[in-house]
Amino acid sequence: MTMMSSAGRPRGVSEKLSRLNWTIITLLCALAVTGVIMHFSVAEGSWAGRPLAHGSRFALVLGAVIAISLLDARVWLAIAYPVYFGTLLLLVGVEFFGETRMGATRWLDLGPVSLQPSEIMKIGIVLALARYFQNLEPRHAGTLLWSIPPLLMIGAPVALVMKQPDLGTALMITFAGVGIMFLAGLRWRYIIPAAGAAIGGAVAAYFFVLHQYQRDRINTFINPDADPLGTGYHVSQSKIAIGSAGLFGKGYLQGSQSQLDFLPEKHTDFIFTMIGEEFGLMGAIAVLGLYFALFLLTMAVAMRARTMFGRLAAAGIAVTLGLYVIINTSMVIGLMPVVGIPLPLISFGGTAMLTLMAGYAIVLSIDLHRDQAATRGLLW
Amino acid sequence: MAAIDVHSLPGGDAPVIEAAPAARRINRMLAVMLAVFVVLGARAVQLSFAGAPESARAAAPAPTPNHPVRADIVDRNGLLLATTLPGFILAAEPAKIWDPAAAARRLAAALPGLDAAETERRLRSDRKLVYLKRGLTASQRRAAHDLGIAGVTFESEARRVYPNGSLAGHALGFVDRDQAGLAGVERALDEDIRRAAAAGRPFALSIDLRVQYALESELADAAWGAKAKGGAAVILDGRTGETLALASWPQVDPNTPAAGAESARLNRAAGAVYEMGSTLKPFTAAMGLDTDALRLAERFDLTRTLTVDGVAIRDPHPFAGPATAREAMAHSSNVAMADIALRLGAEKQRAYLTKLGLFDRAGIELAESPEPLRPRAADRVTTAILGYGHGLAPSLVGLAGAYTVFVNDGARVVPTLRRHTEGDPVRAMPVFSPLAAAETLQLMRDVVIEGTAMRADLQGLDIAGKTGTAEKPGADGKYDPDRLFSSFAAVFPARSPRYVIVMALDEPRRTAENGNLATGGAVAAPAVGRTVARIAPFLATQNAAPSGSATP
Repeated sequence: MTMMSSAGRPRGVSEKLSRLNWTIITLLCALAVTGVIMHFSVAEGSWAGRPLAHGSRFALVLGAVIAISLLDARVWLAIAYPVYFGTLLLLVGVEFFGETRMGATRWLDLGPVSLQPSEIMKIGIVLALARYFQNLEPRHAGTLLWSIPPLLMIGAPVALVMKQPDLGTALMITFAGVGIMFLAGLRWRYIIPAAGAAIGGAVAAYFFVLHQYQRDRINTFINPDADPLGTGYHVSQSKIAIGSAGLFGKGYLQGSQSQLDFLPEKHTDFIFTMIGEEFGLMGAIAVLGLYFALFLLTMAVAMRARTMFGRLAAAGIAVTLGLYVIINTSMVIGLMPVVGIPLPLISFGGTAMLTLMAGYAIVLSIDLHRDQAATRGLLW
Repeated sequence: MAAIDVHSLPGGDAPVIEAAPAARRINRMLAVMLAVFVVLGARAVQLSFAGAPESARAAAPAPTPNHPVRADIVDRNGLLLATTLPGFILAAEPAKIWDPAAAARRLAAALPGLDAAETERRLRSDRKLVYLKRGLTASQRRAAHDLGIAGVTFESEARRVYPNGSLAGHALGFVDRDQAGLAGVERALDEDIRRAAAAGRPFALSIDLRVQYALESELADAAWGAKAKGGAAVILDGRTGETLALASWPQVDPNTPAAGAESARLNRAAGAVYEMGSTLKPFTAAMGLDTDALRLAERFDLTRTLTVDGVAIRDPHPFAGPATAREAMAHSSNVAMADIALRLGAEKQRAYLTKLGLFDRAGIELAESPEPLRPRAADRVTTAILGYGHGLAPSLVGLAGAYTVFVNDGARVVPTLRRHTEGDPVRAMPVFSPLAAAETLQLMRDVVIEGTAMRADLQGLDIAGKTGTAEKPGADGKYDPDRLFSSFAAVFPARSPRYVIVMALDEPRRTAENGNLATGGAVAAPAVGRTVARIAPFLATQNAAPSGSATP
């Protein structure tokens, strides 16, 4: 640390580039390449379409991420609230002007691009809460009174996202937000009763809040084989695919469940199944290992961060990554009801990639500028 | 961005913190996350070693639930005769096959009957999609599917299955690959079967599977025993016209209709016509009794030769002495029947034969039911010959339909393959007076008791009937005494008639089993007797049989 400090803050672009956390970037690339490989298989051995789109999109986004990460880390602090409240406004906008696709109103049509504000909110909540705890006196952090604003900050977007309805994203925002509150020092004496209340609330929500399709998914989760051709179809097929693959899988491009179109949504939410089927248990564990390594490295960035904001923001993004992976793989291997959460960087789909990569722009920036607060230097 | 002055940013001046509690919390969270990832990994291990749950595995090959266009066909008691199962077509997209030779070899190994060389040729074609094999069962599909060859796909197609194999095969008929009925009930009642499918219920036939089985096995035994070329039989419920059993031998398996010989596909019971001879004699007697041209008390000299316009008619083995009408029938006299026919005259005779339905297609629904061969001329010779059943060739079902007059007090009921529901109207066309019908029935009872059909009188069953032994015309147009068509048509129980049974053997031979006789009385009547003995318990006619004689 002292060495780093004495080496001074990074000055030129090339020096900054050399001090970027290239391990994290390598892991991000490895996951994206896994995605390209799997999309090649989904496309039954063709580069055209998804494999190429996935790869080029990642390359483009990665370039932007590296460029942005060179910016001063305090920019994130400055834009935390604007991003959060702006996204909250957009979520309200979705409620009124949103575009409905596949039974859910999640998209906002902004001319050339359509946008899912709920995705931005996954990063927005992390920034806003990190920002909140940055200025909070440590003795206040974790007390009941000072926990009310963050709870409201979590509750407002969650309510709007639930209304769309998007259970998966609502869960992710909730868990990421609560995770940051936990890291900020929320006291155990509140955590334990709150957890109890949350479980009770979940049961109540099952009966009074959830849509029938969401309830079906939960029932199907409990007994997927009751309706193997209906709501349970995904999970049954997916369990078959993974279960039949063995240790090393059926071989690349050889997965029968996936290649024979038994498996729906295999390029998006259920791509983990393809990995499991074609590369077997080893492939599935290797991918989980990649994610866990990325998670650990991100948490290490949080540990190294010298400011509360940097620490909580990096940790919050690590938690977001973890939630993506845990929710997606749990649903695919039948540990959790089906909620539409993609496998980040591997699943096809730009929004999730953008969200996570935006998060990593922040993480890389925080890591790069971790000594900045100490030196108080300016880039410009 | 450059415009942002970080000094003015909130928190920009915040002290650098060591945030010890947060560091501890991060460690805790790492522990939690690690635990969750371990659980995920463990679940993957569990899935891959324990395999998928068995029930989920079973769900794998299930196609999208397809609603069959054809309903199940059931017999009158609801037993399954035909059903539709999901079948599959093995197809492939050649562009996606990496190694056509290996793929063809593996597919051929997994699917017997698939030619590897031909498959490889098709896999090398530059068409977008090629079909490799139709009619795969679910397990065959699974076998091919488990090879995991990319580019191999399946399409589902309905497969018609007849679970009883050849049983009732001719009555049921079969369908083509596109599920269109081609023969039998599948063709004749195609629309009804589709309508039933749309309504989601099975389609019921009049067939009684138990009766059908008894009839088929007895027919087959009789045909084997007599080394016959073919055979046919039908059993009607004479009160409703319902066909309880319809059999043709050799049998055909509707599951593989093309596998059998052409002659096996022929429905000899409903789809062919035969000159049956003496089995038509009861009608001549009934016509005589109905018109008073014949009186039961009168006597016939059966030893004489009746010459009609230069054609001599005589009985081959004449009954000695003056014969009653009863004896004339019991001994199947041609002379007496020609005599009665000549008394009636051509016009009345044809009117009766028309009312009996013998001049038209049998009313049964089957499309293969043919027009009978009718006599071309109306001269005295033709009339005389028609009197003893020659010069007219109806189908067996047509003859059985005509025999319903002995069940329904002289009225005829049209044969049908649809199940009759209590209360449905039955169309009965009066042909003879009830008295004439009853008197003729008694004549037929004597045929069984002391006449040519004594061998049908097994176990004292209460059968009344008439044998027929017709010579088939040879290549020269003359009757060939070595090629017979031997039949027996009967009604039972005679005391309270209800059922009609007709059985015939095409070209039976004289064998030791039939006592070196190939006549209707020797080959068909005993088989009818055995059949009735087998089915009487189902049909609850035991009480109508003479008491004490039902010992096996």
